[in-house]
Order: sequence, then C-alpha cells, then structure tokens
Amino acid sequence: MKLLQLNHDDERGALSLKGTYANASQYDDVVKDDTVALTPDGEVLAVLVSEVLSQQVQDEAYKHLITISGMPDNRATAVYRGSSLSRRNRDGSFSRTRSVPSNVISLLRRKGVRADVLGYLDATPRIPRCRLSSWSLNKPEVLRGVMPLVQGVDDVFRCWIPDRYAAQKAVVQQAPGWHIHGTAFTTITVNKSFRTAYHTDKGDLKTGFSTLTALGKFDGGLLVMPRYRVAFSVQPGSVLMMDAHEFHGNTQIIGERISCVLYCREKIVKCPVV
Amino acid sequence: MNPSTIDQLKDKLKEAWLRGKAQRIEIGTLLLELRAQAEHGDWGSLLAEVGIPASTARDYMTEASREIHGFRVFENGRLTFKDAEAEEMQEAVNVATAEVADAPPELRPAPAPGLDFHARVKGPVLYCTADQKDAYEAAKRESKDRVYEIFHNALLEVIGEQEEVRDEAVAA
Repeated sequence: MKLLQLNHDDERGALSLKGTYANASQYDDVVKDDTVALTPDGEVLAVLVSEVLSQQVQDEAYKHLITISGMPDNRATAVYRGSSLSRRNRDGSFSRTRSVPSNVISLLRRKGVRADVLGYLDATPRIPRCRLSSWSLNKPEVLRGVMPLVQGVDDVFRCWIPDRYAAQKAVVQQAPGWHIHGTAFTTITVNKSFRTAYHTDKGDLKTGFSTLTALGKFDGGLLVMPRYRVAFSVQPGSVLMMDAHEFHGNTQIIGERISCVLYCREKIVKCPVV
Repeated sequence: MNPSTIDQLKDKLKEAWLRGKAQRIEIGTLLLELRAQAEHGDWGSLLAEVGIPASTARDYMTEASREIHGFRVFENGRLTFKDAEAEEMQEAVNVATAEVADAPPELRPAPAPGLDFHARVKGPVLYCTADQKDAYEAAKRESKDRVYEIFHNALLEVIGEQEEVRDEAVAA
C-alpha cells in the first residue's frame, strides 16, 4: 500500500467546476494501484484497493446489474451544468418541478447511460416515507444477486478504514430493517456508462465513507477530484473508499462501465423501526 | 474525373472513416495499454510482431488519447481542452434552456406560492403558506390545556414521591 500525500488544495477552484466534465488538465496524479491518498491537512481523502474482488463475484453482480433501466433524470448536477430545468407537462406547459430535460435524457440514453438505486431510501419532502427503492422492489433478484459483491466491499471497508466503518456500522444498526443485512450500507447507486459531471454526493453519512467499485470492460472513466488535482483509476475488481463530499467527476468512458457506489444514508436512522 | 463521382467517393470515404472510428479508438486504446506495459526499447519490435506500422499506431493512439482525455487547443489566447462530449451535452442543455425561455407566458411555470415559513413537525421539513402557518399556530393554542395536562401528569408521576415527602415534612 502506497501513501500519497497531496499538496494541492483549491476548494474554490473545484467549486467553480461544478456541473462540468473532468478532463486531463485538472489532475496531476493518477492513482492506479493500492494507495492511501491524504489531503494536505493529513486527513484520509481516499483509499484505493485494487483487484480485491474475485472474478466470480464480479461476474455474478454484472449479470444482474446489466438489467438496469433507470435514467438519471433527478441528478441534474451530475448530468451537466444547467440541466435542471422546468419539467414539461403532458399538455405542453412547463411545471414548477425541475428535472433533467427530455432531450438531454434521450442523448444519454443513446449513449447507453443508465442510473438507478438499489436498497433503502429515507423520507424526503416529496416522498415522506422510508422505502425500498423501486428497482429493488420490482426486481428483488437483482439485490440478492449483488449481495456477494456488497459483502466483499463491506469486508474491504472494514479491513482498511476500521474507524469510519465502525461509525457507519453504528448508524446502520440504529436502523434495523433499513439497511442491507450484515453490512454497513443502506443504499447502492448504480451507474452504467454514466460520465458524471463534477458533483458532491448528498444524503450520505458524513462520518462514514462512500465505497465505489466498477464492473465491465472499459477505458477512461477516471474519477477526478479537482480540489486536490488527483484522479483514481477504479478498475473492475478494485474498491475505492472516498470522501464523496468533495467534488468528483469522471473523464470520458470508452466501453461499458458499471459503477456501484455503496453508502449509508444519514437520515435512515429516522426511519420507523420495522 | 466526373465531379459527381468525386463527391460520391468523398461521401463514401467520409462515412467509412466515421464508421471505423470506434474500431480505431479500440485499437489505439489497446496500443496505449501495450506501450504502458512494454519494456524500454521493445516498442518497435512489439509493433512489428502485431503487424501495425509505427506511424499508424501513433495516429490511432493519438485519436484514442484524445477521445479519452480530450485535447488541448489554443482558444482566445488560452490553452483549453476540447471535449466533444462536453460540447454535445452543452448544446443539448442550451436547446432545452431555450425551449423553456422561449415558451409563451401561458405555458411557463406558474409562480411559486409565497412559502415564507417552515416548521419541523415530524420527519422532513414542511414548507407552508402563511395561512397554513396561522392554522397550525391556532391548533397549537387550542390544545394548550391538553398539552399542559399531559406534561403535568407526567411530572406528577416522576416527582410524586418527593411531593409526599415534602408534604410529610411540612406536616411534621
């Protein structure tokens, strides 16, 4: 395991890139193998553990995740800057509700982009109840099929960042029935060939860490954190644990890349005990 | 040669070139990976083994690299990155933005009601209008006695024993 001490820190510069695509001018280092990346303050920014998940586990998860059919119509920042616009009603008028416009969604669809959520979601003003995601409800075999992958990632997280894992596990244990059984995760965001623009993840536990793994055959798709001018190459079978509250986005993806982000939703503890 | 034949050939070539783009990028990406793995000095012989001329390999690798990382160009005296995907996305967003902006007034979103207040009731924050806020406050005022009774009973339950002791002390 290598230690990478990052020296660059430009928070304001990173903020100005919000909603734009990452490119090669925004990073100096590309982390490809086992590395702990530290911020200039000495905090752990990310830990990459490469080739840690078995091929069998990856193949089993891939078989199920390839059936993904959702679109990122409520993730405007991750889609592109300015893509949060008034939604068009059936009668042609525009609603006050904002979403990613249909022509942008069509463009993404043509590129093979898909995005959906597995696992549990907490209450929001729009949907004021805790629930299992619709993909999990409609296709329970998908969640079952990815369980070996989830447990593998959970093991890696527990071994490499035990303090963050313990904090996250303590939270999910307060929400019995609202977490993926036996793990420190409540939710899995799955993206297929989705080149995300610079964004920060919202709703996940601040004291925990987001974990990311990738499947498929692809090139590119580096995860860039412009604030620290660092990029991570998450290859199939590797696990990246990172602070997703820092701006991050992807370089262009060539091929088919399915990324799974496993995390704990902060407000899941408010869900009623089942 | 007949100009129309030239145009037809140009169109066919253009189409064939575009059709082959994905293949060129795939080959270029593989070549980039191979070069990253190759020992110093082995690159030429490796290319000869796979039968790809060095100049063709270089062109394909450049095309793949540009596709993956974008490419630098000078624009308005500044070095910027050309990213075809970003341009395509920006164009789509611009079209959608113009659609909303150019919509006749009757099709535009209705103005939002004045949500001046919010109250954390139970679960997520609820935004409400001024009238709803007043109704909520009134309901709270109406049930004030009931709230007092509940709290008073709970208090008596907790301190009941102490009250008795105090009473005994007073009596003594």
